[in-house]
Amino acid sequence: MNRLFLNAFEHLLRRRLLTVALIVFAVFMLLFWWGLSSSAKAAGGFHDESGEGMNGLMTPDDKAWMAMATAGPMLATILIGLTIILGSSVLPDEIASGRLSLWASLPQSRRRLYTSTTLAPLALSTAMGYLFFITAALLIRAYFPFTPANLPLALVAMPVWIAVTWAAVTTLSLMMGKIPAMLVTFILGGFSATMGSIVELGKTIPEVGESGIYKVANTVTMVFPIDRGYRAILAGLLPARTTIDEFLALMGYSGTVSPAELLYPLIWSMLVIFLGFVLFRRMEVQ
Amino acid sequence: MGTANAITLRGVSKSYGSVRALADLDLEIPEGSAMAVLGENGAGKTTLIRIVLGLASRDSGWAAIRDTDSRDHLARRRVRYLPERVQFPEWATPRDVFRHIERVRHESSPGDFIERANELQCGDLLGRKFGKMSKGQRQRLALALATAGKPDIAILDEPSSGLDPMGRILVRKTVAKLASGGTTILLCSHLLGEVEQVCTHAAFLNKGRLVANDSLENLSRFTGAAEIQTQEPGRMTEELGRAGFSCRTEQGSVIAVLSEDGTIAGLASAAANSGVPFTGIQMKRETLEDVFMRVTERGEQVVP
Repeated sequence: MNRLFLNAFEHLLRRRLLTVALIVFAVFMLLFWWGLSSSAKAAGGFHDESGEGMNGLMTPDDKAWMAMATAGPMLATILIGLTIILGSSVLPDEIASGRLSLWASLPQSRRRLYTSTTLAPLALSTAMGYLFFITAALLIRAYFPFTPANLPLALVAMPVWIAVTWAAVTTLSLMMGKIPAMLVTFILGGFSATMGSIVELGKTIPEVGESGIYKVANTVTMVFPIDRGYRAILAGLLPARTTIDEFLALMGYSGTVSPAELLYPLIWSMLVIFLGFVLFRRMEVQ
Repeated sequence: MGTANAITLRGVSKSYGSVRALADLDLEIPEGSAMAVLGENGAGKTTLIRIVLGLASRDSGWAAIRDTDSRDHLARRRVRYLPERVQFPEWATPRDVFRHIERVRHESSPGDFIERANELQCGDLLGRKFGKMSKGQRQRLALALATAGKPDIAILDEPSSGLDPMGRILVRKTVAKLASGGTTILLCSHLLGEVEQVCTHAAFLNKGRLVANDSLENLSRFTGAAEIQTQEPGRMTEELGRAGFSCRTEQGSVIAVLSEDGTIAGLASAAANSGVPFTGIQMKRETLEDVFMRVTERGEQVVP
């Protein structure tokens, strides 16, 4: 297993895509750092109409949340894009290029071939996720000191969050081919994340929670449960309480994610990736 | 040659939708033999290989490598495979691919690979990316990868595909060396001359059915003619014609048709009496191409 995983991991590491993602991340982090340092240095950087500084109204925790509100969506977009491309690359690429017969003819079971080639993108995307979010959090913390509310939750939530996209794109690639699978996963992800914000608002504001759209949104986030993982990462990584929960809920943040909420996306991912295995096991290798 | 079978197929059938690729196929490939699987395009050769390697499922029947069901990956432990269409990652070098394969096989014999690559005159390409190689170079390296070491069974699907004449000669030498070293060969090729030189047995498929399967010697019939090797084919043809034989020259030899009641002794006597020096005389057998035409075009069956 380890040896096969190593093959797939090496395959991924050699892709230019990874370099591109790291360059985009580095450039974005530099810009983010620039923005953070400028904001922190500006005397009374947040002013209201009366000219009175708002710094007094916002705690460092609020500022930390606001800073992450700037960086988070971009980091999430890069990471989900990377996961979609990597997840749809290794196995579907091997199949489409006709190389799978070379690997499948070796003395290895389909199960081992499947797990090794599919786990590598998950591992790599998760590692990139840790790099992205921990770097961003450390940068923010350097300017707006805060204590993470639940770091273990953030660390656990990262692979769960990534796994939803990974499982979906892997299995869909086997069903419909690489490009359609990428598009469908991307659209589902965006749709589910948006609906997740409505679900979060519904939890905070009772009137929203009773509306029809709340039920629709809830269903969508159950069908493609990408939302809770992302919220759990931020809930664990950032301070627990802010004064602007409702506002942040719309932007994909929540301070109220329990570890139990990660169980559903985890089981969902495992079932979907198993469905992919069933398809792969029956596949006629060309 | 041992008595056990390296590869066995019993009653194997396989269809793709309404198209029947293999129909109730029985085939045994003895340990240490070099078996060619021949047939027209779409005859079922590649499907047969894919079933043996567990790459495709079978609708019915049983396929085994040394008595282990071919669907069990452990059956492929000592099997090497060269696919018809060789594809490697463009970014990878032959060394990378060999390392990947060795990881899976839990083996380490880079020396064997280098030696085989040198035999195939591609040893200088081991560090070059596949994306920067010609089709022929890739093919040679693919064969080196598939035959490095001393595999028990080598399954080679069109190993000479895309190669220049020198490449084909090197492939023939490599396959012959493997066969002489005791490796069981299953070879699919459209180059019948190549097959005649390296294989001991041949199986012919026609529309998924096995129509002929025997040693090359048994498959090839006497043609009713004899071949006389001489430095003066024109004169020999003339003289034998006078003696009542129907003759023609073919590639520097004289081919004489024997009458139904004639024997080679009578021809030899006529040749000796002609006064034209000759170095040999032998009954002419069918070429593999003749056998191919007989069993695939005319539908004759030769299954022992």
